[in-house]
Amino acid sequence: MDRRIDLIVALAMALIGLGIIWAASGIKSGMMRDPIGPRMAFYICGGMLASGGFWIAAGHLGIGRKRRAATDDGVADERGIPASAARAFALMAGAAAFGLALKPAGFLIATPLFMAFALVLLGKRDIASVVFVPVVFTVSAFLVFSSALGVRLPLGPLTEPFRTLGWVTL
Amino acid sequence: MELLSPLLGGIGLLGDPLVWVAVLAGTVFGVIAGAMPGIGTTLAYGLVLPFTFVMPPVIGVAFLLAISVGVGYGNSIPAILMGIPGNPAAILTVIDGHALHKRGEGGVALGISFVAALGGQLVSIPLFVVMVVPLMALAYHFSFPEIFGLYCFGFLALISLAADNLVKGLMSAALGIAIGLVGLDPINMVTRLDFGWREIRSGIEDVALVIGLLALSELFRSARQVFSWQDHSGEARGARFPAFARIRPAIPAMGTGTLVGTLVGAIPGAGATPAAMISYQVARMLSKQPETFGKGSVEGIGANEAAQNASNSGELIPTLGLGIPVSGSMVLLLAALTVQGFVPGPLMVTNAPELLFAAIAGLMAATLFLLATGWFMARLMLKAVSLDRQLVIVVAITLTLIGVYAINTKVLDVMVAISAGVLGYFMLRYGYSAPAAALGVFVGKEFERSLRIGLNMNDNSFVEFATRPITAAILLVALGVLIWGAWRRVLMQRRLAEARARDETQVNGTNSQGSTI
Repeated sequence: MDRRIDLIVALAMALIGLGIIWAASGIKSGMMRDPIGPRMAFYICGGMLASGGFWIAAGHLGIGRKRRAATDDGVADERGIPASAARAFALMAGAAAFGLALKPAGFLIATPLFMAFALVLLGKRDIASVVFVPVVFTVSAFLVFSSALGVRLPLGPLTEPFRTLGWVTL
Repeated sequence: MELLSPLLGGIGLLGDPLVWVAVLAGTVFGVIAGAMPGIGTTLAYGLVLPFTFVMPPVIGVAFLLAISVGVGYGNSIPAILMGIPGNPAAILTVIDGHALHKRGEGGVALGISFVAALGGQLVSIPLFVVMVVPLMALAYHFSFPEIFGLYCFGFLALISLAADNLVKGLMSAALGIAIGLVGLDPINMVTRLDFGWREIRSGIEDVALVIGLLALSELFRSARQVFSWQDHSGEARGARFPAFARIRPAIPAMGTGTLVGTLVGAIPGAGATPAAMISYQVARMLSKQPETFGKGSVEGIGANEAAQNASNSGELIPTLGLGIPVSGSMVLLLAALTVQGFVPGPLMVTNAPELLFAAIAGLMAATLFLLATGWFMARLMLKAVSLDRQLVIVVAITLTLIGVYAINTKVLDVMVAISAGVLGYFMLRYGYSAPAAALGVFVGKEFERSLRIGLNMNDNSFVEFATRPITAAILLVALGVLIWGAWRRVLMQRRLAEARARDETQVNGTNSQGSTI
């Protein structure tokens, strides 16, 4: 576990906690009064996050007492195999782009593009994996979700052609 | 409800062919998922959850529980043959099972694991019924203060799921609770932390959040590394089922494992790992050959596997009996029921006993199915570990995102799940507990609601609220469990550290011989 990133994550958690406390202070009280009120739970949660985050950060920085040993308590990578955080972040960005493109581009276009991107990112280079698998999966998933499960998947620019062909009714 | 009614109801459901179709599909999927290193029950649930939304609730529950049984059996395969624990509970199976496999007795290890897993599962079902029925009988005496007391048990689960670092675990729970509380205030209906955003005025979609925290986070983490799951066991393909004389010494350990697994599984936040650890220690204490434990003990495998599988039934006791999820997979089970319109709580199964029948049918049918086919499936599942890992990750992420979209056909839910997945990734990497956060999302809302409405019902007096007989009794028991849990936690961490140290010594020894990953 990288102590610097652990410190940044702890400080981010502390800031989120302070943000929760600040945002909760603006919650209206409402008509009915009770001894706890609508803000208390957020104050407690925000307080726990802020105090915990600062406690961990203080441990890393050695403030107030001798620097505490960093416990290696995160989920570790498999030993002996190179790990890349950049790959994981790129995959997250790809997933977010897929989510944002789902409505405008449509399921049938966004899904194979995302899958091909993700497979290339994870080291796949052969045509069968990068083209065949995404296309077959997309068509199968479309049939299962759209026809069998009745989920209305977005079609994007394909909506009109599909409507003309009578494949969608709305 | 009489004690026999749930069992008869469950057996009655086995006459429905649809239940069998769901159970067969769930079991096969579960065994395949369990055989793939790193895929546990929670992730397996996350992948198929959207399909349950269109199933009748009874079929959905049977399907999910069949997956639990399948995963419980399937994860012993990579543990024994490859020395890779599919989940923390399988670490002890690695130690004894893989040791036997390296001695050329992989068939004995697989056979004992098979008998223990299925025997433990089957025997734990009546134990589960005996414990859940009295709980259901109490449900009608429960009002908001009593429900608050029960949610205190839920908070014990949060503490127990707090991983190795208690401060980070409690922070994770606090974050989950805060996110879960976004939306309308339960008393005044004023909006809270919606930042003027209309889409989240009535709250953030719970299911998208928990799928992101529990499933996507692990998939994103898995994408950090590119490698293949490989089977290094040519011998296992010809493995033979062991003779009864070889299994017999492990039977008493399987019995204690089943009992310990069911009881420990029912404790909020405990789950399969402590169940396996405790039953392993109990078996070692009772064994005539305690020196063989850790070196290929058949009793060790029997106790561990029986406890892991029996904990499936144990986890259902508070989940169905009280409506309080006690693990990540149980959060997803209740999430599936919530989408179907059920309200988690003590009255859920009292009002809809068919859910309990479905749970029993799912556990029972999956066990019977594995009894008939499990030994052959174990050999077939060697192929599952040679599936392309990268392809599995990409397909799993895509399927999860489509499934989340299918809940409400909202892109916002997909973005919520991805954001929760990113958050969960950092939580996993840096020792924060994603399961505690997911449980916080579920438990926090009801905890606050029952406390505040309960206080209103009792003239806003904390004394009147807490001294109601059932509430006081539950709170006292919760306090006792908290103290006991803290003590067990210290002991378990010591044992886990010892087990990991032994595991590392063995893996290093094996690596130096160049025969495994």
